[in-house]
Amino acid sequence: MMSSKQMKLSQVNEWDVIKQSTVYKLKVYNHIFYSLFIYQLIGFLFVINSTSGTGMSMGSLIINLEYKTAHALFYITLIWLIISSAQLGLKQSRSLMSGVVTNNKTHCFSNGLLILLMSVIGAVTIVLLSMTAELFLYLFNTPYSTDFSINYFLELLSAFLYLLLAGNLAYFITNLVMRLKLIAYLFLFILFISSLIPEISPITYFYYFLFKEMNIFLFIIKISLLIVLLFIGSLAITRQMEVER
Amino acid sequence: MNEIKVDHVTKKYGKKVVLNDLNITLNYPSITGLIGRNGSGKTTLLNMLIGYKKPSSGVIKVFGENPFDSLFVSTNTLFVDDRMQIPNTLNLNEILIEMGRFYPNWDEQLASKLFNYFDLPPNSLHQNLSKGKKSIFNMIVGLSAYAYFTVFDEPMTGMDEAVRKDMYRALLKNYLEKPRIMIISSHHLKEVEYLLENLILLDEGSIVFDGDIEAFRNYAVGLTGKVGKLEKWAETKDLLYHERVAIDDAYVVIKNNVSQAELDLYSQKQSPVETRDLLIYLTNKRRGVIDDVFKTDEIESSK
Amino acid sequence: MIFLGLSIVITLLVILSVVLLMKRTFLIKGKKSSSTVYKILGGYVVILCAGAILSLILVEPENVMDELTEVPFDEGEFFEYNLDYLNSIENSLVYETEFPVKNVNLTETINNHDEFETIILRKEENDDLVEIAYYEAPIYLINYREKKRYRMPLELSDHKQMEMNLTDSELVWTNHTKREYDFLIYTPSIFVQQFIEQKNKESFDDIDIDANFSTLLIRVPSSMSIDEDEFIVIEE
Repeated sequence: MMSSKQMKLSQVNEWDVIKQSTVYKLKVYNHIFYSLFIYQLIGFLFVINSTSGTGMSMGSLIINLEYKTAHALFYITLIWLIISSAQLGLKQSRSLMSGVVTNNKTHCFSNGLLILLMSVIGAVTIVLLSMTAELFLYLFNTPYSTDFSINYFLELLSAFLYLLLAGNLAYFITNLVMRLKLIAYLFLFILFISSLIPEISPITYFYYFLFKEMNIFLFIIKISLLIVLLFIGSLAITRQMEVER
Repeated sequence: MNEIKVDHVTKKYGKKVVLNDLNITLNYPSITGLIGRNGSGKTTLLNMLIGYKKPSSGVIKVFGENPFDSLFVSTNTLFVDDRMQIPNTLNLNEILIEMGRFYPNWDEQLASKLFNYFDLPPNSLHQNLSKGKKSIFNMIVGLSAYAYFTVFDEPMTGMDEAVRKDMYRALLKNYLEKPRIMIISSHHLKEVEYLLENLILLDEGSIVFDGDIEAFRNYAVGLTGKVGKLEKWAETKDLLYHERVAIDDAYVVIKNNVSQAELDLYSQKQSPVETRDLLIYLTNKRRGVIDDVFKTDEIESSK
Repeated sequence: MIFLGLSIVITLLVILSVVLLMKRTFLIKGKKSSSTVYKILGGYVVILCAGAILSLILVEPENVMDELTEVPFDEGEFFEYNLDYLNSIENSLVYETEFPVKNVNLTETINNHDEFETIILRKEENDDLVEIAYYEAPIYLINYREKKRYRMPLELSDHKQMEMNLTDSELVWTNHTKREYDFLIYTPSIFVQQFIEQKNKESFDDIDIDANFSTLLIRVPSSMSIDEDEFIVIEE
């Protein structure tokens, strides 16, 4: 009788838990993807109404050139991603998972997966929405010009990588502030002081390191390296975190 | 390696010692009560057994592993209390489904039946429930998960009498269905007593009693007798409590490690001590009784 | 300006209708079921895909004249006309007049950029009549990035807005017509520019006007000869 009731300890597969945690968080944090929709709608408004213009005149002839760009869309999506990624790094996020099967490693990995998913969706919606904005503007404006030679795949890749970097950076910094407050403040202080002198400012180096990189393959390698380093950093920080509910 | 071992574990918060050199072993299967006053360190101990916090010194082994940050321990463990993290963006039904995905022994049918029995609204959010209903839901999760190591910390908060009765019964049946390692931490010793096999009494971070429930019930004996004779003798034994019941009579409680002959000699009447009272006596030893607060006033006024 | 206002209104209406639609199905401030949220997201992505596909199909450069193999890009370059060139493209006669040659010196013409002003000075030859006809050619916009040349819709100057004043030795011509073109340039790309090599980045303008938009055709009696080069030369 006893043997049929005997309970056995269950073995667990880390990867299964990571997948399960990611799906769980997608359901619990569904407001993240709902807010993307709202943010981008606002971004769309910005894009079609923002104007910078120049004028040319030639005798009695006046040419008004109106410039519109899709940059606002990217920046708004970037803000969305940063806020959402930071939310994942908060203590509440970890304590939420204490109700189910988890440990710090699976929690961090599933957050990384979430940030990856957000970056993919963010990049895809940016590119698609910028094209839709183009259609919208085209239907209401003639004459019209755009960059017809644009490589959309490159666009997608570049946006995705920048978003992923920003997301991991936000997650890393949030973890740093949560756990190693002193180091975080020290880091920010040093950054602030050094940025007053552009020559030695790390921000300037970062700018030239990434934003001025012209070779695509080098760029991919550089940014991927940064992303991986940041993620490993986050993993290391959260390793020994206690759970506070 | 199916047991839980606490080995010389101490927990400090800064200079304050919350748990002092604890040594505990929990075997499979067992249902243990963790009893203690507020601030005795119960919750801290439980947090460490589950793996939420680390001990300052000492070793904890749950199923042979350090429970802190252990995925293996997390899969086979469930902590049910009023701070249980239930998300507020899923309704109760959805939460049960999600729990089922995580816990390998989840019993969907049981969860569903209990859910209907206690009349919980499936589409409601956890945060919108009354305190009692929240506790009911948490208990349903705790029972349906059939986690190898399940901890209940004040699980019946907010429940009315009738529901509590049902819940205790459900808990017992659940345990008998699949015996595992269970810890129940509660203030209501009287209610929970009949479920327990073992008892651990914690007071100010140290273990005062660790043994089976029968031993606890027989731990002390209550004696009534003449003041002079009884009190003097009782003071030489392990005295837990004394009280003047009349001008000449005293009631004392001593540890039950004295021969029957001696008991008969010094006391007129012997009675068992209720566990509820024993709990108070064991933890009040250093604090005195409330009457002491008023004693000095009497002496002052009589002068 | 009208377009700006219209687009704001339309967008606000779209957002308002979406908001109202959402209010009907569930609360905005309440908790939404995750499946609903992901359905919204899915629908959103589908709409965007449709928009993007339509954009790829429909958005085409209009009025493209030709592709430039080389971008004319030197500063101070002159764009010149000659009659043959003029005849090969659409142009329209806007103004015609004639005046006795004696009073006018015909030497060179200068285009003044403030108002369209051409001073024609007579060549040192005496003869009878000089006929002036004013032709206008379509305006071209060159998009240097795309290396395409666009022809703008032809809007001729209103000849009622033209004035010719003959003084002792000068013929002053004034065109009061104001023509205005609005041209929208949309840059959907965001971060790809860092990978594209930009040549001559400093003095790079997306669009420039091909200055061949008007010309004064002067017919002179056969006894008078004028080199074909001596038409309006517009300095850039």
